[in-house]
Amino acid sequence: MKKVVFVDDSKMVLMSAEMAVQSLVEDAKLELFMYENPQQLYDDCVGGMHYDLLITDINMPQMNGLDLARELKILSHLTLQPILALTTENSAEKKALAKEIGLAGWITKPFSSEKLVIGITRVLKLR
Amino acid sequence: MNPLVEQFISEARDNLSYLDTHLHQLDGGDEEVINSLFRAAHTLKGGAGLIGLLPIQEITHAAEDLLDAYRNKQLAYSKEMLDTLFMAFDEVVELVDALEESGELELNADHEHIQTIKQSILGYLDPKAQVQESKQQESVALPFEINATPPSELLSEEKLLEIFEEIPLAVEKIDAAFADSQQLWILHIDLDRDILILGNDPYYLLYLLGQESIKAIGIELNNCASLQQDPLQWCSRIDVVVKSSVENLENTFYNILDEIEFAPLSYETLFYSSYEPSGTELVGDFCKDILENGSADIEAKLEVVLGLVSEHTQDGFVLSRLKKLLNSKENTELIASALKALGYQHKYAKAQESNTASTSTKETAPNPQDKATKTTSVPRTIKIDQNEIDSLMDIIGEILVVKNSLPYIAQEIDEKYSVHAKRDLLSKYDDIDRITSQLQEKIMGMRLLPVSYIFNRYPKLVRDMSRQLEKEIHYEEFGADTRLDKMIIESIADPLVHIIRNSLDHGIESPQQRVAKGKDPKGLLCVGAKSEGDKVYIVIEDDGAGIDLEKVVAKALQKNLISSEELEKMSENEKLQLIFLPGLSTKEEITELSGRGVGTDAVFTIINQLGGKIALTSEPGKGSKTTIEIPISVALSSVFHVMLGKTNFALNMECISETVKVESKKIEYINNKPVLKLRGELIPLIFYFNLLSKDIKEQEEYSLLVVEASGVKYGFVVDRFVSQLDIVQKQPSHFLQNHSFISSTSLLGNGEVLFVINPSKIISQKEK
Repeated sequence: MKKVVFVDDSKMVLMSAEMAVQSLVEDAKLELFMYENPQQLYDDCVGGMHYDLLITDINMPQMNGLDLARELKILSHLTLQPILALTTENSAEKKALAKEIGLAGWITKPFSSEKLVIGITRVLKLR
Repeated sequence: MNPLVEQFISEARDNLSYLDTHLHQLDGGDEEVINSLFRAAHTLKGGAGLIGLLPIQEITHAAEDLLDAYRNKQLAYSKEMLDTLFMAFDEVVELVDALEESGELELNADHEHIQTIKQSILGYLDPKAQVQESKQQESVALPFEINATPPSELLSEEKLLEIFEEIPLAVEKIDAAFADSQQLWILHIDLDRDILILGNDPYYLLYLLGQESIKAIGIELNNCASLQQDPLQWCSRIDVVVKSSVENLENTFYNILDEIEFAPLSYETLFYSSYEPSGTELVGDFCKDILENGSADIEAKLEVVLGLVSEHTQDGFVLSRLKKLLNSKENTELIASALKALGYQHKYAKAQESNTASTSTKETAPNPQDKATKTTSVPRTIKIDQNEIDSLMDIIGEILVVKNSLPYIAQEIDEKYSVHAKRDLLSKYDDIDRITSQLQEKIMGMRLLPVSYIFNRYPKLVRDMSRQLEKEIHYEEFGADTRLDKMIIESIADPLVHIIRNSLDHGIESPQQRVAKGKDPKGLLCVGAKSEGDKVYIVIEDDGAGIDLEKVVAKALQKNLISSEELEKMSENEKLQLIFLPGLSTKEEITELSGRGVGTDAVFTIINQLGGKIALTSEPGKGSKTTIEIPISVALSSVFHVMLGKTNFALNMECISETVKVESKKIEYINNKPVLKLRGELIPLIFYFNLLSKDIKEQEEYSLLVVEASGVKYGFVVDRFVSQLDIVQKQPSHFLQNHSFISSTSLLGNGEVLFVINPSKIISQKEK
């Protein structure tokens, strides 16, 4: 079972993401972890938490998602773990920056559940 | 309701109230505030988009753009802009209200009104920015952004020719339908070296497409020397021809869509190349001619075209394809359709143009770098189901009962067994006491909400009212983070609105009047809260005309609310409190805004019910101030437990000013009524709560509770004091409900019932 972490300051996005990937969870392919505060997630990761995939928002009050990704990639146990952005941001500069930091992909909000599932299954090679 | 919608409403409310209270700080230019405001609008938009609330999404999107432009200093602050934003978010508040009420996602919104709002917001934005936006939207509208790379740029012409020779792409299959379906693609996979490390494996993705639909046409290995260093590097370049639908392709390469180069290998591909414009036109004209006039003389015309094309281009590939077709003596219809496909070049050309155009605008577009990542956050409240808290509260009640039972047991043991047992039990009691008080504190804390919960509505209220009343009013608030019990907060929300309305309507004068009095034309309304001990004080202060005491008194007399004898005994301050009497309104003409004399007394009643007090001070010409004192929580209360015979009674600690034991001979009788002289003050005595007609037993000593109600002290004589108790009060039920003396009940540790007495009711009854 793959451990997927979502971080988004909007509880709503987390809820809809959870609904979207429900089928994968039901098939016992995923285990979901939701964070409303990226700082909290970062602290947990520094504390040794591991994940198979992180899906992060970009604009968050406590910490920018790209900064979060950059910091997490520094942690040796998470360097190779893929990160996807799930955001309303759509600027080329931000995307380029994301690529530079090492994000595996970019899903634009509002997202369809299909798109999210596809984004996840491709990265985690679930099929 | 859908939980997602509920969540949206709750989040929207947070963000909207933040916007409402902080928008006016936009002027200050504090970057953190502006960023937070932007983020609030952004989150609103995102949420609305997520559940498809188009009207909200449109307004917030426009507002977000405006805030973004302001954040990037592309436009200057103006009062009008602020008003527009306020108006926009007010509209969103209404839409959210409507959503909450109906629970229907199909909002019954006035589309035109929303467009007007949107346009008025966009009016502040640079017209150029708007054009850019519309362009971006256009490109987003495409279902799948194909890199409009002509295949000849990806691969050499020879290679392409080879492909066509090799791939079972029978010429006869090439028709318009095929050209439209775009089933064949050239994929040019030349990716960043780190692509594998980052979590995308192109091989896996190709595998997903299915072996039978892929044909590799070229692999190039670059810089393989570094392979030794890092096996996880992608150092190859793969070209494949893939048979797949657009959707499938998009879904497969979803995460790296922007990085893989695609070229549709459709019929037009066969002919497309970099024609000079003149050549394109010629070919286009030729196609048109054939399509319109049929295939007569087609060969001759084709020859002409080919001649011209070859003059203008060096594109051997197209020529060779055309010649091949010609030589193969396919029927003219095929050529016609082939050439029809040539018409697609126009599309291509256009696509390329707009592509370059959009990239250029993107480049010139300002580059908003959010350097501030840690910014002021929108205040959040933890939302807990009220039922859950209530059930926790019940549990606490149970624990308290158990806790209170322990001393009784200890007492019993003491009488029958050893002293040790009692000591042990009492130490247990201390433990439980400690745990329960911790638990209490936690849960009480959970029930507490900051008063900003209701204060948030006031800026809008003040704005709306000052507009309607044509007064200029500056709103100030303090202590918005003071916490109060949720239930209390909810019940005082409306009374406070009423008081504020009164201040704005009756208190603060019109700008002309104010200037005439030598005041600042802008009136001041200040709402605030502060906590002291277990009380919270809420203050509403204005610098208006104050309250005309004469008028209040005259009105009260005129309406027979008081008698002139009563009036004579009253102090100035007491006279002022007359305003809380039912049916008194001093404003000559009733305005639409602040009610019709009903209300002020209702405010008084509500505050009283909550165990609070309300007081009014006023200085003519300088303003008035309303102070409301309320307990932080009503869920748990401190009471004083007394006995009357064998019945347990209690009074709220707040109303007891002291307890006294007096000798019976000290009791005096005035007009045949018992009074006590206590430190020079005469205190009327009430025996046994007036409940019982039992005769006053001659006792040597009386136990007396001194209770202060409405500024007057009374002495309540009881049989015995017991102790102070913390209890969870329960509303009396059944037949006790109608008993006005009993405000609530509770259960004692020994299982007996405790009645909590409302002393003011007893006093008022005594006076009758």
